[in-house]
Amino acid sequence: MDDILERFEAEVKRGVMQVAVMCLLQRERYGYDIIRNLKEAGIGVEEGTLYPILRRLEDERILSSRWVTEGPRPRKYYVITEYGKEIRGRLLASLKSISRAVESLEKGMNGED
Amino acid sequence: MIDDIIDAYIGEVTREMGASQGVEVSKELRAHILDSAEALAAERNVTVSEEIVREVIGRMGPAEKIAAMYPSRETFLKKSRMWKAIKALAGVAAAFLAIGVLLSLVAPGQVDVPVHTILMVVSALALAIVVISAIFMAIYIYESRLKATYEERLKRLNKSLSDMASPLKVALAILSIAAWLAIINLFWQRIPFLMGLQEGRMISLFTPEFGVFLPYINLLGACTIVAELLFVLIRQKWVPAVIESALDVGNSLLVAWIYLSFPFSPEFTPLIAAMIKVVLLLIALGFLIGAAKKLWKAAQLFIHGGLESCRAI
Repeated sequence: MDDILERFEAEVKRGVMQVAVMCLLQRERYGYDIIRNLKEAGIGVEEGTLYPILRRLEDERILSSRWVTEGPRPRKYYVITEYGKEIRGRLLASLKSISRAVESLEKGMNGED
Repeated sequence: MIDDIIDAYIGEVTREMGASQGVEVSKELRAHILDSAEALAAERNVTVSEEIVREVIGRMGPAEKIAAMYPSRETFLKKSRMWKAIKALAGVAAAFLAIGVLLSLVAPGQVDVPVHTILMVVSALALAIVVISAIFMAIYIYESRLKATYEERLKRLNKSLSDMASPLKVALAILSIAAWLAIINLFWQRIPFLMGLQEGRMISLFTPEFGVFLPYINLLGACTIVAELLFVLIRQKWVPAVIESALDVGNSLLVAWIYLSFPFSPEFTPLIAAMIKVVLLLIALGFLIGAAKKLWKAAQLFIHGGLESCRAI
């Protein structure tokens, strides 16, 4: 049962994480900073999984990036694009609508009990 | 030692990646591991050690899993399975060809019919390869150009328009035209060409009558150089674009004239002569396509009112 739960959780998290990243990248951040903020927001992730997601979002022109070489080591900073903001708005609306639907289904289920 | 541990992990993640993606992912993951290790060490009031780095890497997840999550950097050829289809067809064609060659070697002159059939099959396969390539290229062009976002298309337009007036492009164009004019003026009587496929002898491509066309070739070349210079010298970039379009039409007419007069050696076999004529027609067609493209560019430059306003969009 734990395996099934873990798989479900991972699938949901992956979707939610993309939206959360888009929200966090309203301002420019680098990978480690994003993960720290995600953790603070209660979205714990396997740290390595963030980077392929960032890459994918960048390929889809949802994010843009630049390398900053000042500081102790070079870091890649990401920020959401205008196109990304449009996508984010729609995704947030969709997530809220799904959440409301699940809540209503849950209420119905509890009523039947 | 810490570096070795990080390198080993990153090496696993980037193993299947292309060079440029691999370098970028390595830099990014290394920065993350070191940032994370420093934060963890500070939290525990210790210095960064191998154990700390191992713990950070453990939190990142298995290297294979991370590698599999990265978007594929496959080329269009591989992604579309086009390469496999072409390789399969080429393999079959090569096998048929090998059989044909072996048959001709083993029993020369006695197996003309099977060899002829094999050559037909190989030709059909070659045609299939060309058709498949054309279909996939059309899909590729549709996907990469028509499905591009408005911003992407605008960026491409700006680039193509600014490329036309780039001093480097102008310099290269002028150099290549000058080289072409030098070769054709100095060596036109000595340009060798195969007389026939079976003869194997080289003869001069042009007969002395070709000299009639030289002044026109030089005039068109000189005008093209002037038009190229105008791209750098004047603000109204559409003017040289229109001039170059007209010059391309002129070039096309000149090639058509050469095709009709055909001042080539009568020693050429009919097959070679036909091949030269086909090449000339293709060149004329190429110039006409070039003229249309330059006219379209001129219209774009005119509509956008110069590169400055175009960049400001």
